[in-house]
Amino acid sequence: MGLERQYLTGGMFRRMIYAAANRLEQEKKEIDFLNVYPVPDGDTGTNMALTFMAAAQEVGDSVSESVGELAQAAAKGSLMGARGNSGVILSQLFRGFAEVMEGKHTATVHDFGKGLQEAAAMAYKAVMRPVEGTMLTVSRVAAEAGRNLAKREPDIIVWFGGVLEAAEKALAETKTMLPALAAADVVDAGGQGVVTIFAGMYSALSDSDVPELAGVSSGQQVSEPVGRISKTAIAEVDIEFRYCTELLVTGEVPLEKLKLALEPLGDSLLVVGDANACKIHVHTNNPGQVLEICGAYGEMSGIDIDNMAEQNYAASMQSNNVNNNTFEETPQIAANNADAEAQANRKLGMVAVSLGEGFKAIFQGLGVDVVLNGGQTMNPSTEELVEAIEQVPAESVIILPNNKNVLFAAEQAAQMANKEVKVIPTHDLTAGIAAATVYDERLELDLLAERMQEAGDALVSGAVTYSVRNTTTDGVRINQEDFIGLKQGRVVVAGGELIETTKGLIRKLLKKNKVDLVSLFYGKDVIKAAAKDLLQQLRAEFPEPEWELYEGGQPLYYYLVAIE
Amino acid sequence: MGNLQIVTDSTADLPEDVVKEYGIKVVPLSVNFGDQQYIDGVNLTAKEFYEKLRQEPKIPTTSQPAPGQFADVYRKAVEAGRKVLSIHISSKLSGTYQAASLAAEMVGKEHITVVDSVSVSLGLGMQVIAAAKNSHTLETARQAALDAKKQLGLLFLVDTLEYMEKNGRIGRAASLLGSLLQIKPVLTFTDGTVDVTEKVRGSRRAYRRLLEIFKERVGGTAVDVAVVHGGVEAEAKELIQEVQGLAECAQIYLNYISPVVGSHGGPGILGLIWKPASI
Repeated sequence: MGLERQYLTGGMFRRMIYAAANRLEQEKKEIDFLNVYPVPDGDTGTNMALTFMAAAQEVGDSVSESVGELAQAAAKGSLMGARGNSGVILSQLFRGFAEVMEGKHTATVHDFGKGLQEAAAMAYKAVMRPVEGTMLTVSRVAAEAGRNLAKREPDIIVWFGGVLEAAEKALAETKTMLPALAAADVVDAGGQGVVTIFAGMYSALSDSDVPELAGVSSGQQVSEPVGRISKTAIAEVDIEFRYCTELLVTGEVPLEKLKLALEPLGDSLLVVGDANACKIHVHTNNPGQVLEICGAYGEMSGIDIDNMAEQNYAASMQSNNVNNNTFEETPQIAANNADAEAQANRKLGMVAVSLGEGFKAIFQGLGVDVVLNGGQTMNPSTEELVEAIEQVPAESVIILPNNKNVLFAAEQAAQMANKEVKVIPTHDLTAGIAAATVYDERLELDLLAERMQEAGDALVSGAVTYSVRNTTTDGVRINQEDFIGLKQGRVVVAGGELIETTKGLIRKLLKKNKVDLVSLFYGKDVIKAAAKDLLQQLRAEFPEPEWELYEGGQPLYYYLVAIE
Repeated sequence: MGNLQIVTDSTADLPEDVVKEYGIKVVPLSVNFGDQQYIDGVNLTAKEFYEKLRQEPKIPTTSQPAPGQFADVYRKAVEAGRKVLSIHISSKLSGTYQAASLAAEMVGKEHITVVDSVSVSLGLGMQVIAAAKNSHTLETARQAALDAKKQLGLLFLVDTLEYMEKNGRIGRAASLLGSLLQIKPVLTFTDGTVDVTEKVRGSRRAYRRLLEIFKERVGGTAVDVAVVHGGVEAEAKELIQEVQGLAECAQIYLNYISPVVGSHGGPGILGLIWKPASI
């Protein structure tokens, strides 16, 4: 064993970061797919990939050859680019790692192990109620293994192989740790993300090929470094299997058997489901054969075949246009700049994260200065939130995240912005509306924040969406493509009919509670006449409360309901 | 009746018996439905007015009393050897105060003191009552009216902001007009114009919030309370009952909101006004 294998150099670390970023980018769709909750909101992989890419680009911008300085760059990049809860946790992992590496030009397995341990500790600290069986568990178990292994294994490549193995084992165990994961027969998405990162890093250590940083497929988040990196480092992504093929098969599908039948056709195979239906995802050069095999097991639906070579081309095009996109997507910021001067002396302003034209207009009508598009499917990054805060022409800013996955990034943005910022932890759009309604710029900030939070908390929220798979959640049996009604985020009804499911949800919401006001916000897939008709029926059934109907325009949710 | 004549206008919504008891002179404003002019409380009762308001497609306009009307009242009092304390609707809502001031100048400023209540309805009325109760001298009456003004509470709810908007009396509630969401504000008067105390959604919740704010502000103080309304007497009576459960109420007044103010607030307007019973 050569001496060089006992030290992690800056160059090695840089390659590890690039390789992990590329791996995460390639596998993000598979990770998204693992999200177990029966709501089509899987974006853990996308969030982690975007966050990691931001870290990699900061590393790419640095000319340093010191592990400590590069770790610091990665921590900074991920903090600014953190998106979604998984992204924020990732940024904390980087932060903990960078603290241990500070001042170190190279690192031994002891240093690296200590770094991983501090990374996990930092991530646990950042989460209010850490849940085992998640990416936290995977990073902690891997770090513990790394610390132990460092006592007898000085070779960094061998040592890291052991860390990866421990992470993979911990990931497999997540299935038994969380009932939701067990029910859906999947491992934790965030945990998978951590394993993907480690696997990417390991490949950089063990392969002699020098990995380069590929482009990213979402232009929104990354600012100018893209241009520079794309010149020097965008690699041709070699695509072995060209077509990403996804579909649903309804019927009694023997999962293992189907898995075996599909395995020879490609890679990245996922077969997830239960006794009544399953979802298939595979990268293949022969989608026709995939369909043929699946068709033999049951009825097929939701067939989606994408040419990934095209996707990659589109992604690199998009990356090059990044700055233009950023401006086009937030016209309200530009508009607000126009009268910024007139409002320069304002004490207080608001930022809200919202989905749908209807909600955007409602928030603006309630005095929100900047409405950021995002929420369930695309969480705004910390950086975007910081920018939005800076754009508000006022000394102090209140943020309404309106989604629990945005909360974390909002809190980080609040710390980073050069303004006094209060985050009102609104968990959904309806709570955000309730909070924004009581906004009053004459009040002292602390008191106002308290009142807004009270208003958001006082409301009971409901949502109607559909399930992406067969599962049992919160004790409710759900068939894939069923409509499901959620009360405060928990499934309370499911059924094959939208109107009846919505009514069923509202019956549950109105039970026992003394209700004054029910507000319905219909989504982008519901036509106004249908919503009005439903309102009339509900009013007839429940004459007691006041009823209001608004266009929300939100995707994914047919109806959002606020009970006050 | 001593050496002091208390004068006010018809927007004070003073109950008949209070007017009689203290010998208060009430100068009426007028309401115009198209070309048809009605004198507040003279040839148009409040009850008739609100029925008419719901039917008329056009929102009525209002006009202040002519300075000459005030001059007549002032002159009679001065000729009888009495001083005058004349208290009126907020100068930001009506030209009444200005007309009264003009009349005072004409008749003789040394005899007549004109006061801007910066309020309306029984918010003005409470100041007039405080003055009337302490009318031994001009000074005691004026001081009592000022104390009442300082410690006055006034909250009101409207069915719609439309009337206030169309007649240009919406004040700071104008900020709510841009909202796509139906907001039921708990309204008040600040510096003589309409102001938003709190924004609430749903009329029932607004009503409840009004009661909560009342309770918070009154604390343990014994109060005189007035409930005024735009043609919704049953709701007004219910409000009185609720209020009695929340505070020690020495005096309770119930009245229609005068047609002049009702023209700006719209039908269904409901107001709660209070002052410490000690004043």
